[in-house]
Amino acid sequence: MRSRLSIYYTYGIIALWAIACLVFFQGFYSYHFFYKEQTQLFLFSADYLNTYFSKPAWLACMGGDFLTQFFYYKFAGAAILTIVLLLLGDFTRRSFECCMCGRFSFVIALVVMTVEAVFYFRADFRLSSAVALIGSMGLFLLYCLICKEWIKWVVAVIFIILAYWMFGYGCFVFVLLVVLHDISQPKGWIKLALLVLAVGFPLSMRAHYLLTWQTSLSYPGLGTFQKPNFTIENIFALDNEYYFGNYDKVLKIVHQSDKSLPEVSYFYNLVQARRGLLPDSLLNISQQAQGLFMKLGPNASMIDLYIGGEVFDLCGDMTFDEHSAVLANVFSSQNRNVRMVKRLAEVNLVNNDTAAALKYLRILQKTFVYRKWSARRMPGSQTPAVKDYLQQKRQYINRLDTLRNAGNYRLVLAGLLHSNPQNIAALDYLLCDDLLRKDISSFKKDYDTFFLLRSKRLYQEALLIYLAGTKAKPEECIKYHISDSLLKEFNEYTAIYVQTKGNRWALRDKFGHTYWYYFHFINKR
Amino acid sequence: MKHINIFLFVLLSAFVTSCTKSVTNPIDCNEYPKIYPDYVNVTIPQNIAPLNFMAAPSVDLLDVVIKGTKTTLHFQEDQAIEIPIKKWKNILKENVGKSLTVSVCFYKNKQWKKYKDFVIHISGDTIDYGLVYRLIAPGYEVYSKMGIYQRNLSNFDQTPIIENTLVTGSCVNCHAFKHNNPDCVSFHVRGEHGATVLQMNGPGSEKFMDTKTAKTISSCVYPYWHPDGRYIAYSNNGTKQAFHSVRNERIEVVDKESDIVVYDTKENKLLLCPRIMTKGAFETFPVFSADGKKLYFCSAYAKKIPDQYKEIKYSLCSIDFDAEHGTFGNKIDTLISAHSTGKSISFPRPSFDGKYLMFVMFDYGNFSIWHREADLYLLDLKTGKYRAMTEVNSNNTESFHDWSTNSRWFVFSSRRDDGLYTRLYIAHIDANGKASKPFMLPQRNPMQNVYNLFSYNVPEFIIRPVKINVKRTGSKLMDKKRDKFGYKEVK
Repeated sequence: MRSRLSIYYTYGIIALWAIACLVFFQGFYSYHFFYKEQTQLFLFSADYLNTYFSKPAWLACMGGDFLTQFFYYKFAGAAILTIVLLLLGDFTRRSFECCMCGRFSFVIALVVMTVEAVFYFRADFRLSSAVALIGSMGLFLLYCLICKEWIKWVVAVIFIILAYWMFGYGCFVFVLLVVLHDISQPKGWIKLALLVLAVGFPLSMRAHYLLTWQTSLSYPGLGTFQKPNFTIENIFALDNEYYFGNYDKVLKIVHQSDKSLPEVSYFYNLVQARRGLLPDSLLNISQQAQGLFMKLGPNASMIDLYIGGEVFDLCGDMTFDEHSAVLANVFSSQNRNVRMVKRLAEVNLVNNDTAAALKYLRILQKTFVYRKWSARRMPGSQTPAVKDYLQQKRQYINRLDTLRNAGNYRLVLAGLLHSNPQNIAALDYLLCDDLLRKDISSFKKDYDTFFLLRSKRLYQEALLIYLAGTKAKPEECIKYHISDSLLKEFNEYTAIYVQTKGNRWALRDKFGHTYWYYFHFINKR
Repeated sequence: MKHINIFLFVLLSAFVTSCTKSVTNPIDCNEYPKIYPDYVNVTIPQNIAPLNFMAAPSVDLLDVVIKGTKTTLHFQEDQAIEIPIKKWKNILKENVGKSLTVSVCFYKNKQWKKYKDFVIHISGDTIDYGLVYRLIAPGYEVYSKMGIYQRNLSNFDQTPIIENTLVTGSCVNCHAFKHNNPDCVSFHVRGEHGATVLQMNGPGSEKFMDTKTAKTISSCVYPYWHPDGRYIAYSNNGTKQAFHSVRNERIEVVDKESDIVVYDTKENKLLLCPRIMTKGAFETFPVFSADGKKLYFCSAYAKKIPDQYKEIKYSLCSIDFDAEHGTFGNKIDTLISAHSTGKSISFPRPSFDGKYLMFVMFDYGNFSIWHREADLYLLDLKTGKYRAMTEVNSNNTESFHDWSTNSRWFVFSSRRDDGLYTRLYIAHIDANGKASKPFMLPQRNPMQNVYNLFSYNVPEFIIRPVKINVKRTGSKLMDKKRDKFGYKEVK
């Protein structure tokens, strides 16, 4: 009776753990799964699978990546992770039961599952780690089936080598379990020899696999303890909803987020620019002094590289769109990132570079998730919606050749506007970028060059600063269609500013959302 | 038991033959088949790996018959043919100096189409053991996973020589061998653990050098070994990367300054000659002549970057070099002037027999690899005449190239496949300097070229496998201790 109760308790705890894991990862951390899926690429091709053999832990990596591709689907990420962790727990329990730790095996299993779950708080932690542990414990359970002593030792040696080959650092788990299992048996030197082999073999294979000694001992990657990072989860949420075109949801998430993060304002601006409302809403949230772009380059974070190309995609600069996609691709696991491969396919389709587009589309044809996406874009069999999309994108491509540095976004936008002055997104990005950087003279120059008489209050507020600063004549105000009411407001702002000697609190309530207030008080240099 | 074996063999044979579909009533097409890679009418060395190929259009079946003087091989596959290495070697051996005839039929929509037979000519000239190249994501200023690899040309074995996983966060580049001999190798590691690795006498003799000196503008790059092995020519470049706003050229690599230096391995000193380190000009891409008596290089008048970048055009020049005393000639000869061609020259490479010098010519600038108009040219060193190698050029970029030891084959990188990723092509060149149609480096599965997201970079022939003490190299690179280059100013 007592034993039956204890089984019920065990199952109850496991069920509660699984529900907690599922609820947490699905309810509070699900966007991490989408990021993990997007930053890898799993192909059903012999050549691709062959690449896994160039490093240790091929089976763990292959298994982990295979499962990760299904993280694309809603609920799949949390479900797969929970199942894998339950499997890990079960293997741990069985392994420790074999090691005569029956009384503690369940607790140990719970601890291992929980620790592994905590490791998944990191965005770049791969599922292959859990697969490596499961695999090595599986080998240990096989080892436990052998009765004859001398065979056991021979098998242990073979399994250490196999464990490293297939499961990387899992070979240490295997050998520790073996030592624990046979701890009471004599011949301690054999156990010592096995431990030496478990360390020595990966180190001896270092030259073959071309790894540093630290990486060779920890392949495919050890986890680290950290708290759940909800800030990054929020950025992934913004990215995900933007990617799927749920712009209202993006704005909703922005309003619930820490608006001082550049990534938050970045997505906010993207959505507003997409709707032609960037100048109307620019100052409604906290903006970055350095402007509207993610800084892309060798020192940028992976997340910034991952999201940084969206602005070029929106404005239509295919060169920088391609550049940012290649950067993100290069820094992804195994230089493969399905989001960027899709982007590269689209960029080349827009550019009518069929040979290059075909390369990426053929790669995507070998995936499980994106096969149909690729088929719809294949030259010769494109759907009407795809044709329309490409045609629309082609209107905006840059036709004026200039040489730009990686960070010279002004030149990018100016080039786009010279090619197509109707490119409203590029125009708003150019003017708003000038304003956020408080570069009023560049703003005035760009405004005069490209502005298409869109009556935007933000731009007129900025013009007033320029006109006041240059002591322009009243006719200038008329030339820029600045209304009397706005001029009156500006005079009022100026009067209070002078009277209070630049006291921001005296101006905040009435003028907090004006460009004048931003110019004087926000993002001070 | 014997009967059972025979029975099983017959059963297996019947099964195998039942899987092939006979080519019946084919429509005759009076054109060559569209196959990928394009191996139609190419010339190959007798020791090359099988030329596996696939139908370029989508087909249901591909039927291929390869006919030699004695042997005939037949394959039928739904995607790509994979020729067994042993059978391929035998058929090549039987037909050295002759041609194989290849008949191709495609089966699509329940109909066979028979294409015009093509030939594969097997040259009597052998090719070197293999190639060394870098695999890297194309062109941009960053690198995460990349490495230098060697490939056995007789089969499909590709093994890494060094990957940057060995020294995390680094970039490995600029590998060069002395006359294709892998015992003498120089390669460069960039990044926090940067060094120039010099192996003078086989594995274990590696030296880890800091090649920047007080008198030079940067570390040493673009190495080229002197034929006697004592000297290595390098250039020092202050390089910047910029982006074109229109799609055709994508990336421009520009030098803001550059000079040429020669490293004396015996004295551990850079020889600095003012005539190839001028302020008013950019000198780059140095190479020694086959006899070691001349140093060829590219030179352009310095211009303002980026405003005048399209006006930077490199000429092909040379200066005498005395290997015994480590001195340079008094004058610089301009072999091909940018002023007369209106174009720019990069990557000069003399053949080892001393007859030719191959180079790349393109519209402007220093780095041809993203210039679609970049083509290979051949300079006859006896007559001083040069010509475009129309036999091998395409309407996309042809770029870095290298000669085999017998100077009868050359390998070059080209973007003709998809415009983005460089792939390697090999071509034969006869005694009169006439090149054959190039063939793409064979792969076990031709689709490997499609799935691969790395470009082949800086291909170099090697006469035998490269051996580097990887453990020692990794440890030495990580400990950051570097030997310094000295320098000596020579007149």
